[in-house]
Amino acid sequence: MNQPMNFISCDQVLPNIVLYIDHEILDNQQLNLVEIHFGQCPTCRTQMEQENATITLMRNLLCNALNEEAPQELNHRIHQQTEDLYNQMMQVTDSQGFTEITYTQTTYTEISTDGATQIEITSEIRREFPQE
Amino acid sequence: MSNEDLLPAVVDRNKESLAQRKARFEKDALVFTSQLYGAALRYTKNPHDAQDLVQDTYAKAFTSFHQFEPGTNLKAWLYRILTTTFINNYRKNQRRPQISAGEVEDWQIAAASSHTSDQGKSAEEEVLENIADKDIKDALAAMPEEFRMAVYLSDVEGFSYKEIAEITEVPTGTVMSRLHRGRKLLRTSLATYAKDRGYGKNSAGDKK
Repeated sequence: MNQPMNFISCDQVLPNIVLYIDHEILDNQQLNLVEIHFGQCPTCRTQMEQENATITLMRNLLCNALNEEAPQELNHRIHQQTEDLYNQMMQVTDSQGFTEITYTQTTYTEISTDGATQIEITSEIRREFPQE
Repeated sequence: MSNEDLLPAVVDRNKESLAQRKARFEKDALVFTSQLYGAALRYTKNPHDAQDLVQDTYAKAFTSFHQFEPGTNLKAWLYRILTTTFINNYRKNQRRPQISAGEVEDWQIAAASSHTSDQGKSAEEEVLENIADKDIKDALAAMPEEFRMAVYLSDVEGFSYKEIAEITEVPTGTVMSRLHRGRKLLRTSLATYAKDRGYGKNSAGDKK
């Protein structure tokens, strides 16, 4: 079949519908071809619109249902923990990019390898927080 | 779609004192507690563990904050730590569901099949609109972790496929597959909830 350069078939568009909806077609040329196809093919366009409506609805349902706020208690604990860690780090930091920090019962060993972050948990004893 | 706009101006980490780093951490990282708590609830499925997980995440984030490259995506970096922490410290206490090896291929086949005759979508939508928040949480919690987190990170947190791939340490193609199937699973499951509760128009005689 002789097809113009800017034409792609339904078979080529279908696998791209979800990617299109999620804004995940990262190649501009590809994106153009898909959009041109939607302009020319009502069947594919309708399918995309239906799919889009459903995905959007699900997104909204999820976002409304899952809007948990961190409890104040947790925010407080994290602030306190940052203070505690800071005070410990002030005492133990050495200058070689290797730091070992003990926090209550948990020991973290940090290894700095060419900028990548690696944290090894050398002790897995869980902290205990005062109840009440 | 960029939270990156909110990120601070680039700072030189090497010239930063510990006190300055702490101030920067408190200003930039501690604003994500609620979002991380939401993700932690999806992972652990209970508020107690979720709080501990978020706290542990922030402990690690702070002690390795000098390794975070300013100007890059801090939120995704924190989610990455949260995920690693969950896998290392918490997941062993939970059942780990298996997923089929052919998941990517399945997705490709499903996506490439001819025009679907998925009729009556507006009816489905009508039903879904009536579903209770608790049913949504339950349905999501019942899904295998891989699918649950792909849907959550994409549709609630708005991460791109690439960001999710980095957070969960799997290839982008796998993220795509998990998201696609996760959304389907969730839809099917919610439709069942709705039917059981009699929200559907033609739910009368079907099954209880």
